[in-house]
Amino acid sequence: MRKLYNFILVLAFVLTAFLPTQAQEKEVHLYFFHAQGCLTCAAEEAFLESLLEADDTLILHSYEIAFDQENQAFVKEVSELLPTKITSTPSLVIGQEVIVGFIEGVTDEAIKDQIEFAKNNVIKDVIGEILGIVDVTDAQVTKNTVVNVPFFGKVEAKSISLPIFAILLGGIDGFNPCAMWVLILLISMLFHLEEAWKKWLLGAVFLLTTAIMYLFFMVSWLNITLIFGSITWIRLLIALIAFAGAAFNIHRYLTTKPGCEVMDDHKRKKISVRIRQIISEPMFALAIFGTMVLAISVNLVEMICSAGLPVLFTQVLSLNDLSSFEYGAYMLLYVGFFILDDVLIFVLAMKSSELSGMSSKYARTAHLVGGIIMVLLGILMILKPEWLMFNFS
Amino acid sequence: MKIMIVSALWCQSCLYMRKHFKTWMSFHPEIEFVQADLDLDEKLIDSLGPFKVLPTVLLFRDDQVIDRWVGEHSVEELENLLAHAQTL
Repeated sequence: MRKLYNFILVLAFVLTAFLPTQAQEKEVHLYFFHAQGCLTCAAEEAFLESLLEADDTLILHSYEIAFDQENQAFVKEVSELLPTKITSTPSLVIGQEVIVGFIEGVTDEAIKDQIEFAKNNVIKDVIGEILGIVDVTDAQVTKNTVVNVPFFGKVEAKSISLPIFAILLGGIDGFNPCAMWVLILLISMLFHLEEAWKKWLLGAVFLLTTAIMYLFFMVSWLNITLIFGSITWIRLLIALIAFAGAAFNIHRYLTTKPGCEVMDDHKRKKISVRIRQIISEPMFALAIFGTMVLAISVNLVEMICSAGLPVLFTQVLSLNDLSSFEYGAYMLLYVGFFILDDVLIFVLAMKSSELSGMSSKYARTAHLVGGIIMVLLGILMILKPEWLMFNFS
Repeated sequence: MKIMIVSALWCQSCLYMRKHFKTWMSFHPEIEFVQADLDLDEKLIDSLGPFKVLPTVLLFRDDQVIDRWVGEHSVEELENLLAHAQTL
């Protein structure tokens, strides 16, 4: 009897060894903050539900925060503990990562990446700890976006990539000579003024107005893309603008001779007359006003010539999860480098009382480089928009 | 031989070429050089247009235009163009 008992025990043990073992997959908690009536929230909710259907290790906690006061208090409490505050809907929290907004083809991929990361790493589930549904942990693992830059050491990739992008695009856009000829004409005529301070002031007013106009245009476009940019066909339309801009720039590179193209006689004479009127205006306040009007009217027309790069830049900004302050800072950086070559020409001219021009080969090269960048950005916008989020993982 | 250089106040390339033209002119005291502005000297250059690219250099022999160069050139290129024009 004992021998039979032992035999059955050994047999049971051997047989169970061949049973397929099911590893217990890690649960991942998703905390979804949304607002009633928010269309983007509804789109994300539908996507999250499809994820839940496919993966039963995912657990969704949903919080409506537009009307539910209890949830509003809760979101305030958790925001204090998260690296990014929850200030808009939809917002999805996985671990310590806050994913704001929902753009089809972009955010869905980011959410899947973060879920995968959460499953394969020990992450700190801040909200879960508050709710008491997970154990408290000291884990600080976050997505690795740190790069090792020679001489500078470890740098957060996201913190360097967008500023460099703004400087690069702003600098290339600045070489665009569309409105440059007006600045050169204005400076040439300013030399006839006797008082140095008037020359400096009128030139500075022209440049400042140009910069403000450009910034205004970029802010308007950014607001449009933030509202409508999540719609796929808008992103495709912007990609088409990029391709059109690229074609224009490359065409200019190939067809423009190194020299100044003589444009519309009538327009040129009209602007020359206006500048002469400004310079000879006895009331200086009116001269300043006239300079501002000149800068606005010239740049309104010439902006079409260079619309590609600023439109693309604001679209890339809208794809990144930034605060209003950050949007403003990056746009200011772009415009700063955009206007830099004009400022240098003006300052050098005023100091030396002589205008020395720059060879047009630099502007031609800028056309080529700008065109290539627009093609690349257009392609990324269609095929890999998530790469424009500067999330290196 | 007479050479006319047509430029404009608003033209960056013309400003860039100023130094090159000055150097080139100093090599040829035997040639009469005339400078004209596209907008300010309309009457002088009206019949010599159209001007599509600036600066434009016009070469005259016996008051007839025998050659025309446009855009930016180095001093060496200007010398080569002049040497070729003198054989025309």
